[in-house]
Amino acid sequence: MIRSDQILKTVEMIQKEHLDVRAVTMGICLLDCRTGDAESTALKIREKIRTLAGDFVATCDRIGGKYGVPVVNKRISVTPIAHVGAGFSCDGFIRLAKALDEAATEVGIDIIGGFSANVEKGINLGDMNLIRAVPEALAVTGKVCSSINAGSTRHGLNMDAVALLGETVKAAADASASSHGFGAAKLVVFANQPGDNPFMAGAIHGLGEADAVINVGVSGPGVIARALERRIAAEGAENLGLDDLAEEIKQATFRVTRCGELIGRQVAKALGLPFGVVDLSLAPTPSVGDSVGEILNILGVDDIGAPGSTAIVAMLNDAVKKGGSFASQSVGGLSGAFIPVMEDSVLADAAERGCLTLEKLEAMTCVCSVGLDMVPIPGDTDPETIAAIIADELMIGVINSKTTAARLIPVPGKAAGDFVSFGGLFGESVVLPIRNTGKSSRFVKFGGRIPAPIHSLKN
Amino acid sequence: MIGKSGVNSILNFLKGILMTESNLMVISVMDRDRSGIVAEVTEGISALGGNLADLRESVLCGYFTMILLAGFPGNVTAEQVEKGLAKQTSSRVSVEPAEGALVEAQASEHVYVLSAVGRDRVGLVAQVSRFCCNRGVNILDLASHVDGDQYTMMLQIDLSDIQSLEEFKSELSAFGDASHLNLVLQHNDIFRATNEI
Repeated sequence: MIRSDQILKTVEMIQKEHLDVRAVTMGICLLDCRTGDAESTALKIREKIRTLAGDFVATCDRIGGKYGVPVVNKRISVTPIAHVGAGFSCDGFIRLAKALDEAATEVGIDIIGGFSANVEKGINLGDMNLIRAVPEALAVTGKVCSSINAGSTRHGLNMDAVALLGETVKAAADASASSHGFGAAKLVVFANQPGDNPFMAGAIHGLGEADAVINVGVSGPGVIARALERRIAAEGAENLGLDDLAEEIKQATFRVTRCGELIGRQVAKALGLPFGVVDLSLAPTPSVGDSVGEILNILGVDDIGAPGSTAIVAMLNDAVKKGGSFASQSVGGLSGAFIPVMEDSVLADAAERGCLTLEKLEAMTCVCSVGLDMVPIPGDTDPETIAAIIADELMIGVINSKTTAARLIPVPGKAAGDFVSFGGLFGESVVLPIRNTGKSSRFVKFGGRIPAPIHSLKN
Repeated sequence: MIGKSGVNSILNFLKGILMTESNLMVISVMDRDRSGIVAEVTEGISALGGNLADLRESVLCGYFTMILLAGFPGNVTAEQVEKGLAKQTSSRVSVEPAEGALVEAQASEHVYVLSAVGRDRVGLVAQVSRFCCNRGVNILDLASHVDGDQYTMMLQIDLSDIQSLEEFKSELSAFGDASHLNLVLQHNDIFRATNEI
C-alpha cells in the first residue's frame, strides 16, 4: 500500500490543483489517401480520419473518467498536407483543408493540425501552392491549423521562404479581418519542427512516424505554481534557495508526467494504436492560475520581463525536462515551457503594462520552447518586418539546435496598445509595439539561405 | 511468444502448486513490542522445517502484530506448529492451515483508493466499511491516522463487482455529504504512477 501522505499529496494535486492531461493528440498518416485529384483525395482523408478517430473522443473521456484525470483537449495531427496534395493547385489544397475541417467536426475534435510543409532548404511546387493557399484555407475553415518549417540546424534558414511567409502571415490576418486576424493565430512558422508534437498550432504527424500514433501533452503550469507556493509557505522563502525550488519543480513535473503517460498509454491501448511520446511542455491557458508568468512571479520577479526573467525561464525549463525525462519512458515533441502572450493572462497583463516587450520575449525564447507565440502586433506592420522578426526567432533555434517558432498576428486595423480578444483558449492581450518597423526590408530582399551553423567552436 | 504478464501468471501458478504440496499455514503473532519477537518466531518455524513464504508486521502504540505465511513438510499439523512455536516464544501465536487463493490478489484494473477525511468521531471506520460491504466492495488494505481532531482513512478497495462506476461514485458522493466526510475515489494506478519509480 502506498503511504497515506503520498496518497493525500496526489489527491490534493488532482482535486485542488486541477491536474489534467492537457492534450491527447492522435497522429494520422495520410500518405495513402493520395489519388490523382483533390476531390477523391479529400473523400479518402475524411474516411481515414473517421475510421481511425471515430471513437477517439469517447475513449479519451472514458479513460479520463476512470482515472479521475480529465483529458482537456482531444486533437488530431496529420501528415504535412504538402506531401499529400503535391501536384494539386491552390484550390485543390483549399479543398483538402476543408476535408480536414469536416473530418474534425465529424469525429468531435476542436483542432486539427498539419496543413503544413517543410521548406527548410527549398520550396517545391506543392509547398508553394500550399503556402499560397494558407490565407484562404485558414479563413474558410474553423479547426484547421497550419505550420511551415522554414529552417533547421542541419540546413540553415531558407530566407526565400521566410520572406514569403512574412507576406503569408499578413495575408492570413487580412483574410480573416472580420475576426481580428484570427487566421494568423492558426499559422506558425518553425525552425527544427518536431514531427511528434501534440500541441497546436504546430502539431504534425511527421514522415518518420507510424501509420497512427497517440502523443500526449502533460498538465499545465498551474500544478507547478501550486507546488512552489506550498513549498514556500511551508518552509519560508528565506529558508529556500533556487536549487530547492528547482527540485520542487522537478518533483511536481515527475508526478504530472507520470499521470500524462498513464492516461496516454491507456488511450493508445484502448484504441489499439502505438503510444508515441509525452511532451513535457507547460502550456498555459487564459484561465487564472494556469500561467507560466505566474511561476516567474513566484520565483521572484515582480513583473514579467524584469531582469531575471530569462534566467528563471531557463531554470524552470531545465527542471521540467529533468523531472519529466526521469518519469517518462519516451519524451518528445517540444518539451519546454510555452510563453504565448495572448494565452497566458499574466504575460498579457505584463504586456499591457509595457513591462514585457517583444525583445524580452525573444530573449526568453532562447532558453525555452517554443518561440514568439500568440503575439499580436500592429495591423499595419509591413511583411518584410514580419519576415525579419521570424528570421530572428528562427535563427535562435537554428544556431542552438532547438525548436523555435513564430506565431505573430498582425491584427487588422489595430495599433500598438489596442486590445484584441479571440476568446476561449486563444485568449486576449493588447497589441505589442514593434520598435524599428520598416528597417529590415533590404535584409529580407536578399533572399537565399542563411547557411547551416558550424557544429564546433561553441560559444 | 509469451508476454511478461503471461510468464508471471505461469510462475504464480507453479508457486501455488509448490506451496500447496508443502502444507501452507498462516501464523499470526501479537505481543507488546519488544526486541526478539521476529527472531523467536522465525527460528521456531525453521526448527519445524518450515519455509517462510511471506510476512507482514506492524507496530501500533507499542503493540506488535505480525502475520506470516509458511510452508511446512506434509506431515506437520497446525497444532504441532502452534505447540512448537509456544516453546520458542512467549508471544501469543495462532496457526491456521491456509486455504483458498495462495497468491495474493494482483493489483487489477478494478483496484481503487478511497481517501476519507473528516472530524474524528465514533464509528467512522464502521460507517465507511459498511458502505463498502453493502455494495460488495472488498477492502484490500486500510490505514488511518489522526491529526488533531481530523481523522484520515485510506482504503484500497476492489470494485470488480461494481456494475456502474458512475453510480458508485454518485452514491459515494451522497454518502460523503450525509456523513460529513470528504471522500475521494481515485484509481490505484494513479498513485502507483505518481509515487513509484
